[in-house]
Amino acid sequence: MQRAMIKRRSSKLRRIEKDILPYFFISPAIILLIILTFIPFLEAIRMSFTACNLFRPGSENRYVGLDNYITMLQNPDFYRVLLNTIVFTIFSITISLLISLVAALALNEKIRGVNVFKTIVLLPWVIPPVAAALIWQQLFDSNFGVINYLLTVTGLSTKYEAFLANPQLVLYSLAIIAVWKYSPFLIVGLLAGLQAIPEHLYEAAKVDGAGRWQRFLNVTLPGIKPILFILLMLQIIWRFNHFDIVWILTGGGPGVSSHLVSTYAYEYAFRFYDFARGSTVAVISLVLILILTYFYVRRTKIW
Amino acid sequence: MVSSRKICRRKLPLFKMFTYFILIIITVFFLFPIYWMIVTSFKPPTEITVKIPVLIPKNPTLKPYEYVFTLTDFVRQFFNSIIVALGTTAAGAMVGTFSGYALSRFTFKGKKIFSMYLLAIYMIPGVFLLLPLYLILKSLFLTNTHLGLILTHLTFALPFSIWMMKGYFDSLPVDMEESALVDGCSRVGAVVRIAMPLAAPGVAATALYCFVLSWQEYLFAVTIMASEEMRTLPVGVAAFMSWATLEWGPIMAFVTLMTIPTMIFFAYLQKFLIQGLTAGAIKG
Repeated sequence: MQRAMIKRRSSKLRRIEKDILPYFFISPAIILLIILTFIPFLEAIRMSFTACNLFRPGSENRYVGLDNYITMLQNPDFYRVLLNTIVFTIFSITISLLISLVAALALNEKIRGVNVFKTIVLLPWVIPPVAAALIWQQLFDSNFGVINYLLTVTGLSTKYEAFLANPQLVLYSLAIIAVWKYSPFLIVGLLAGLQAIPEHLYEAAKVDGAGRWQRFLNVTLPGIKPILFILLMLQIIWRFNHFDIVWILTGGGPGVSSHLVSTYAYEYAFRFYDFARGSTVAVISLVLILILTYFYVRRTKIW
Repeated sequence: MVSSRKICRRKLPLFKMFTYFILIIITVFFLFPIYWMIVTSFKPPTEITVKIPVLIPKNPTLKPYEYVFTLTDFVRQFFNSIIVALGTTAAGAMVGTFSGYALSRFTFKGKKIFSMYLLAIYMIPGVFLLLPLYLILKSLFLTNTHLGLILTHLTFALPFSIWMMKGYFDSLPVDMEESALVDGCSRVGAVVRIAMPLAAPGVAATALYCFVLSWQEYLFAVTIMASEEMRTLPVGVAAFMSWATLEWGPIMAFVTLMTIPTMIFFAYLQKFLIQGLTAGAIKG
């Protein structure tokens, strides 16, 4: 009798434990994430409807309706910045993708020394973005840079270019640095995808008389498609939001020729102390990313 | 039969050679900038400001390193970075382990929303969160403090570590925990005595990963740590760059020094790098 009671009590305790425990486990994360991300998220949206300026006390509660959005949408610089961001994202991702795909395919071959290559190719991932920016600034130098030297020696260019000061070149030069810094991540991901393709699929294709190219089209590509789409989505989001390299090397200049949405929002907030307009830029860019992601996910059917 | 084999044998080395050729080009692209960073840090100025690049220093010198240690704030910035990175790592790994366990092992109401929210944070630009966070931290007098920067670093370290730990627990068999429960061990006991020790390698990888992320971070650091004595290494080197224009030797020595800790962790982290980031996303 007593035994049965104990058993019932302990099973009840266990049920409570099972109901409560997960919430107990995630509560620190939830509390921190609400304070550190959710409240700021709402606050940023609220700020974009105010006249919030760090130098005007009380302005953070003066609501101005859609004024900031209207001003921003009438600002030709803002469209230039949006265009820059899109060009930066598309250009750097296209090159990254080409390099990463070729690299991953080569690294997936069973040849001697491949592990050494693998380690080397991944190294830029652990170089801090600030370091990457400074290293490449030296490589791009308009007087003593290695890149200018190589371009003139090989005859590809007749004179030394100021890659980071020339409005026509600056965005593409910065994109190359992003390619260098962020491709390794893509390579590891694609490599993981390639290695997950079962060997017997290749064997079967070989038996059916498929050549290398056909095996690539019919086995490899469909095999890495799911992971490729996810990696690509993350990369698009991260490059669209990119800040470090651009801010350190050009600060968005010359003019606004290399400003991206993140650097533009940051400049409003911390150079002009206009937090309202800064938030407005950030909100618009987030909305654009959400729309982009929505269509991307729908088209590629990741989920 | 024989003839086709012959063709195969003739073709294979060609393809192999092509693969090596591709690998070497790609390796040069990824390795050369790092090589250049290290080499430049040992060069005297006369071998840096020259039209024809000097591939191997003719008169290697330690002067740039001496410069970094005597004329810059490297040591103080190094300790600022260490404190912030360790704080982020401790909080990230701890919170990540428990949340990751809950996501992997329990079904509970709100689980889906919680997972989607974690993914959604990836999409939010850093600047978006930074502006309100800066104002909030300022009103709490937490700007220019290690704690303040640690809190902002948690905005990206937490989602990463939770996903990584969820992925790691997913890869561990549940049998042992279940048999512990059958033997009368409490659920909490099963977690603490059975699951956590098994997850130790995953926790270590997650911790190192948080460390690397925090160590590299620039945007939050440059904003929250505005005063000179609170700067972290990335902020410090960017500031150093702006006053020591074209002192490439010392700048590259600084950069080399700040890269060393992450390089050391790299070997261990390599295999975990992608796991935590994509495993969650694919299953989510």
